[in-house]
Amino acid sequence: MITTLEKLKGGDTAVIRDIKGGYGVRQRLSRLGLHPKDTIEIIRSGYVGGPMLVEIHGSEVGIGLGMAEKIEVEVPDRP
Amino acid sequence: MKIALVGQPNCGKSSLFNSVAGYKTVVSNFPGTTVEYVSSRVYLNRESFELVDLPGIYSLSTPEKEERFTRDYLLRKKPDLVVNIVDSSVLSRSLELTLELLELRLPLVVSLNMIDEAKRKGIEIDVDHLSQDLGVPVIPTIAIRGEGVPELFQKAIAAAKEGRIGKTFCLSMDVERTVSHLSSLLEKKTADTLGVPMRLLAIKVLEQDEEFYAAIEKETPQVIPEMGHLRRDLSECHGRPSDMVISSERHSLAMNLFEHVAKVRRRREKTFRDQVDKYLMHPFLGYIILGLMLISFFGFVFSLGRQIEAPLLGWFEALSAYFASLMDRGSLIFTLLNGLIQALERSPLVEVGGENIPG
Repeated sequence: MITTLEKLKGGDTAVIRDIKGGYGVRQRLSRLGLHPKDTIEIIRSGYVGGPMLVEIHGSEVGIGLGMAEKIEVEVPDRP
Repeated sequence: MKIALVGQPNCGKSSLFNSVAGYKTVVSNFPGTTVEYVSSRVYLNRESFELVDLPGIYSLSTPEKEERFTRDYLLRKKPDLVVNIVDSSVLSRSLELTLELLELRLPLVVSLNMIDEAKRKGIEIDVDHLSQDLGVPVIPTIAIRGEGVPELFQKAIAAAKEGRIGKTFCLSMDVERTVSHLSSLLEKKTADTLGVPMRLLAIKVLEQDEEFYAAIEKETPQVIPEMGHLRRDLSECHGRPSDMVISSERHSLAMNLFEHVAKVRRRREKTFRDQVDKYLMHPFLGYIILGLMLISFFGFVFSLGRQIEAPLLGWFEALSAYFASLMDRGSLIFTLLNGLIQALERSPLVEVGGENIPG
């Protein structure tokens, strides 16, 4: 299933497909270590507009919901 | 000789600086604490060096002001040696910056900092292997305790004298071809005025670095159309913007390198911190815990105040009585002293209990 990052819940794992943002967003996310094809685990989803906490390559990164909306991810379908 | 400390934010540059310079720059557990550079003269083996602590950077191209500062320093001031401090616990991410720094063609030494933290996270790093792969000395350190620091600087000085600049890494074939085509278009003079090696300049052009782009436009405007053409070709080929192509390339190089030199034993059991975090950082429960903590804190202070209020008041009254026995109650000096004591009695310090003080 293809969706955007902000829709995921804590405990979900997904693979980043694409980053649908401008130059600034792309640069920022790449500096935080988020690239297409990376596997990302959601530790906590954002409540009431707060940032979500994700784990990527062994480090925890906080991502604002606005930024998360621009990250297209693929979630493996549950059997 | 100038030695610059460069690394990603919050990797321990300032800790390392302090442990060598014995000078207290501000260190905290937040990225972005150092916003200006601090330099200090240090003596090692009877030679003096200028050691420079720079703000943390994730990459050489950046819109952030502090990060630009570090980049400008590296390009314009040309340190004789760069010490790349790496947070070992996030090695794969940190190596991306190391790969960029290698492209600067300056003598380089890598300090694998927080090596204890990496071990705790189950990451085991083959230091010799990494050193071979990068072509520069790699020294594990724990800067906050000063471990490995003397060795780091011994190796660093040796590397600077030898002029060891390490390897550069090949990108995918088509990207590499675009980079060399671009390098042939650009003039050496432009790269020299900017203080970057030609290859790095070409890579940065593909990464849409504004400053470099503007400089090229000024020096050799005739190459701009061809440059734009190359960039578009690359992005069409990969189906994404050229800056993303380059950052993905660097990312996969760093990941390969990481997998080559490190073993990760995934430890699934939750640490104490995770357990505490689960409640303290809970979006709803967190606020309740915060409220409870504040209430109990105030409760503690108030109850303590009530306990010490009575003995303190007694002490003040005794003092007042003592003065009364010593001098005439109508005298000016007694009135002043008594006023002073009464003022002290009512001061907030004594009034912690919050109740009216009789008398």
